[in-house]
Amino acid sequence: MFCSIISATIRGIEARKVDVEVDISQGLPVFDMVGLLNSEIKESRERVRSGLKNTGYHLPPNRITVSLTPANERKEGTGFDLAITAGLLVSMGVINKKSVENTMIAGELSLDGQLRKIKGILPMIIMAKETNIKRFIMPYENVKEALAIDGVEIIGVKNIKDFVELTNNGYKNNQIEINKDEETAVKYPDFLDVCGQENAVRAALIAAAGAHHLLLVGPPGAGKSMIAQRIPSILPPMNLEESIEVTKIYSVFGDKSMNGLIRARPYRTPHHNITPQALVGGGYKAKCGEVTLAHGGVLFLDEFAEFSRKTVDYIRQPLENGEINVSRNDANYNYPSDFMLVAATNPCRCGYYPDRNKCMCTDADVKKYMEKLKGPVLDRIDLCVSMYKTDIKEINKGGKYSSKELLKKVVKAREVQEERYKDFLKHENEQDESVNDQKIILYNSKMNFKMLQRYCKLGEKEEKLLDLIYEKYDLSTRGYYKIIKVARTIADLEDSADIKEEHILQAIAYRIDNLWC
Amino acid sequence: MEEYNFYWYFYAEVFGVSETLAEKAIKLYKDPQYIYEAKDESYVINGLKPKEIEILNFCKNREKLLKNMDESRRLGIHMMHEGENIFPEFVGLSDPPKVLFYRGKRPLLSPDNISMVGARSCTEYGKSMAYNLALDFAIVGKTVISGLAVGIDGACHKGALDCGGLTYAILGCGLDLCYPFSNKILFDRIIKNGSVISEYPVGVKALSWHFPKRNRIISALSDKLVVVEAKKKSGTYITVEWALQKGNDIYAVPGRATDPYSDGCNELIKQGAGLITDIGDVYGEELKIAAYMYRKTKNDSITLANENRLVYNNCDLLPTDIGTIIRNTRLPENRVLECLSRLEIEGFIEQPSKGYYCRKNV
Repeated sequence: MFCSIISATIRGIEARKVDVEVDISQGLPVFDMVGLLNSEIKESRERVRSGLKNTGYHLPPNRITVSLTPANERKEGTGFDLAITAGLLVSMGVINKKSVENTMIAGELSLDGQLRKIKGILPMIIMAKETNIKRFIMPYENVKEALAIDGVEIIGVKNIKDFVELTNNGYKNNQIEINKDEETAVKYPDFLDVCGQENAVRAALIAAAGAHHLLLVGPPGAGKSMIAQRIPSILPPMNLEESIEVTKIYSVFGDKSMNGLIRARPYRTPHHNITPQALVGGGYKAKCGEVTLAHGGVLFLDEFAEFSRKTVDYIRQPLENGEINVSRNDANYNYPSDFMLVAATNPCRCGYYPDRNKCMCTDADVKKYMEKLKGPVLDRIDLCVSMYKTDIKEINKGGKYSSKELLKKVVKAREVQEERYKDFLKHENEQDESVNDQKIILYNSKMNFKMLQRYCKLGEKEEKLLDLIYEKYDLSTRGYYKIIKVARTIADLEDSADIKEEHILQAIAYRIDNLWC
Repeated sequence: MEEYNFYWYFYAEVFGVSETLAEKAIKLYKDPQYIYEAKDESYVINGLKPKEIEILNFCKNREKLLKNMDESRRLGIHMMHEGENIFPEFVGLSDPPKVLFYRGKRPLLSPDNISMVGARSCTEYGKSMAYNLALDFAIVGKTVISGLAVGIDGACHKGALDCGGLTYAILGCGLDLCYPFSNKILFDRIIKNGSVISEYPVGVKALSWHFPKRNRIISALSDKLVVVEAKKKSGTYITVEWALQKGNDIYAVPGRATDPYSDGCNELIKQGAGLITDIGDVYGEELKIAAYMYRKTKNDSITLANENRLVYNNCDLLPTDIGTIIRNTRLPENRVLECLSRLEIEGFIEQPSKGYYCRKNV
């Protein structure tokens, strides 16, 4: 008897529908599986056979054929075990065919018939919702994650026995303890732990407010990583959409610690030995990399000078477009990767320059070390701040700003920006109808030339000052615009409609060009 | 275009390959023309080794010599040699230079010359002292001689140039290249406002053993030597030894007792070198006051607003980090940043390294 079950595979971070067809017919007893399968799916045969046997169902000694369609697409993942089992049980007449109609089934089997957690449940359920599937049967452990999406009936099963009972009695005893709204408060480390370093904290505040990228320079132990780690705590909380996007990524990546929807902004710190593939995504399955895992959060590159330049240059595309395209022989995926880059570096090889009591590096060594930072990625960093040894008095006094205070300022500044650029988008869309993506929210760091001219009008005094700066520091055009952008953010933070002299002066202190003077 | 003396140029070429051979040969033959014209047999009789004969024959390539001479002329390099009446008379040196190349003004041996040396790895204090001393020397009309190295040497030249003074830089390579290249701007300024000098013909690279030789010219061109900042193990000591041999006056700029960057200078003072903190220690109070007055007329216009003044007062000659400045001024960090940027734009302070500020030489 023939039977078809709906299931799904993961491509990139999206799910694709796969039909699992099972047919039991007269003939020599064989178990064949077709449909361009990865080896973990081919091995599914053994798990299904033993799982069924140990639950009390014996496969009939007939010719069994399982086909996964569309047959020309490569499939991967262990989620097909349960779908195949379901198909077999229907074909064997154990389950009513009607009860699994318009139902998506996914789950991994263990040999004793228990079900195991699988990766990528969230994209699957999103796909199920989009294609109007009524119900989704999945391993019980995955339920919490799936509950983030409304509109599909979710059935969590613990083993095959459970599954058969539930399907046969019309899903009456579906016991899921839903406490959907147990929104646990997201916990981040707090900026109160940072002693002294007001200047760097302020730079972090400005960076967070205008979505600028940030470079921290300082001796070992000054607290560069500490500041970076605390930046997610002053980024506005994620809305549901963002949250789902991030959860989708981690769902596919298979983060074991994941429990339901991710609410905290990610914070990733890849080691400087990282390969390009691990950083931006790759491998033969074209898995996502650190830049994607940092989507919506902070990517912290500690010891920035120690990264191989080639590796670092790969993040240019995500910095510019907010997504990364990964191509491998049978895959071509676009992964979202809109993150805030925080890089940290020592000022020289020993780390203590310009403290001449400790640093014995020659000027040439220092210069060489700094030269290593140069490149397209550094060009896209707007803010640079230097850190220093904290005074003992400051350590005893503790931090000056709490994350809560700072967050308030950031949220306010971002609201101002959203309000301002909303008009711009509207205006643009009138002229050009192809741009209709209302989802884009612009921040100061993303301003283009046109917007700079419109939103960063300068007074006479300010223009004079900028002229002087442009000449004195021999700025490039990019460097010039960077200063204006940062000044705009500072003005937003200080609740000023116009950019004033003081904002420009502060912005100069954070400029990055003078790293190599 | 001046004509070079072909045979002396040949001597310089040999000197560029092997200094010892050149000196040995000139002692034997007295005149470079004789070296050039001598045959292998003559060399053997005079006791030159086969390897040395090989070098001499290698340098005798007439076409190459002419080509190099053309190249030198094109670059505006002048040559002078022993025996010419313009050639400076070096007294007190055991092996005075025989040939000198220079670009710029012709160097003169004068009692107004003063040599300044110091280490390449140095502190901001050292650089600032070097700059200020050189500036004052130049103001009172002295000629500053140094070695164009990074660090102290560069600061000395810069100080002298910044008030339009005369300065000579002695190089350890051919004058077609600037070593270290990071001082290229300085190199070009010196050619306009003084001269770069070398014993080596064009095409000779800056090799490590050239520098001790170069140092003897630095000490030979004047009768005073100021050591600004030097560690105990520093090339500067070689210059000091040359100067002592010649009988120059040695002055050293004192540093903190515990500072490893100044322990060489402090040691020199212990051994009896003159202690110099301003130019009065070398040339007497009168010139010191003259320099002071000159500077004062230039910088009389410093008027700073209250907060700027407070921030400026908290900047030191040594680079100070922003944290310390914020702490000491007790101003909010954004105000401090504003003041620092303004002071920097107006030229009162500078950032030698990102986030560290120090007073500029005013």
